[in-house]
Amino acid sequence: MHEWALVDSVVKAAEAVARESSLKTVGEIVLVLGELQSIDRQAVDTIFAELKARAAEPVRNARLVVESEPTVFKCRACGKTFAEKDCAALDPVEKEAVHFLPEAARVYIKCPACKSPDFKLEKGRGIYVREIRGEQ
Amino acid sequence: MNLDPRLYAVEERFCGVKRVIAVSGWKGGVGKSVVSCVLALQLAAKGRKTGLLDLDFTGASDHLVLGAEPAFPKETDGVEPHLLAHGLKFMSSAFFLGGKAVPMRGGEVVDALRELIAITRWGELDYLIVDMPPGIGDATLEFSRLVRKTEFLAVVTPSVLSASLAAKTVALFEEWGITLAGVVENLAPQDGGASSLAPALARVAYDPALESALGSPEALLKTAFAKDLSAAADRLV
Repeated sequence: MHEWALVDSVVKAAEAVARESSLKTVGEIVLVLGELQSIDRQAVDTIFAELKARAAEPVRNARLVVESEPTVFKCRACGKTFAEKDCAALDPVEKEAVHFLPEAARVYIKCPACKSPDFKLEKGRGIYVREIRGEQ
Repeated sequence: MNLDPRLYAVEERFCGVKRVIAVSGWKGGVGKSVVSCVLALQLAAKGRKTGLLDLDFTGASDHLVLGAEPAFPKETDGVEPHLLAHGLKFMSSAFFLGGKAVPMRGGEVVDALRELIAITRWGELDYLIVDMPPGIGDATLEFSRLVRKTEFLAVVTPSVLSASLAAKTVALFEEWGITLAGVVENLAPQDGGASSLAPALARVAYDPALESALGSPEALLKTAFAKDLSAAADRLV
């Protein structure tokens, strides 16, 4: 599934950080999931457990801490800050499109004040790693 | 810290791809999308494992050239490109945009590009043809930064407007150490002089029947356009 590729990239990032920072063990990876992308959190946990078992030695016992980040949009046309709940609800096909490619939101979401699709995604787009903690 | 983990997956996603050829004209309207699609079809028809990636996010049209259904791709350990005629693997942002225009600024193009190349699993390929957007903006800079093996194929027309921009860009790419796979001269007059850029891969004349072949891979391969362009496919293999 799509989540597999994203979690695989998280494991690869942890391996690279461990290598670059000479970490003997990675204890914790703090992963942030932006709500816009509707990543399946349970799938993330399952895939991470599967992939870390095959990862480089320092990452094999890492714990994954998952945080959720609400989506915040800011309209570039009128300056309004808004959330996804302020807009018309996406249908399942639109939701799936945004899940694959969050930039597709620009097709389906408009500023609730001025209807512009030219908005900035200030928070909560997709995944990023907030922190990787380990021991040298 | 705030790391973008997708960047760490890119190298592995392209490790099975022998050659990555980015088709660009830098000037819009030179025919790079049709050149990309027909070249990819020709390489696939020769039995080479070939992929096609449409990176023209705000003007994706390869799905129309190839008559590909804009359906969501399958998911298995990432996202699988659609499989088209002659086993051509095809990925485009158009699969996610519901046939609608999408307004995107530079940073958003970079984000979409990173997402698409981090999740797509190409597997083993001899050639990945990448249809680039016009210009040397965010998509071109980011893709060539992340996929270091990228070679560029320049599509030029006889117009001085196309040729002068291509010459300047090729000179810049040489300074950067980016490889030029070759040049395709499109809309070439029968009796005109050839482009001065080298290496020339093909001269393709205007083909009035090309428009009616759009949407059908087999019809495209039978056009005079494809016949002229086949010199490029022959030289690349």
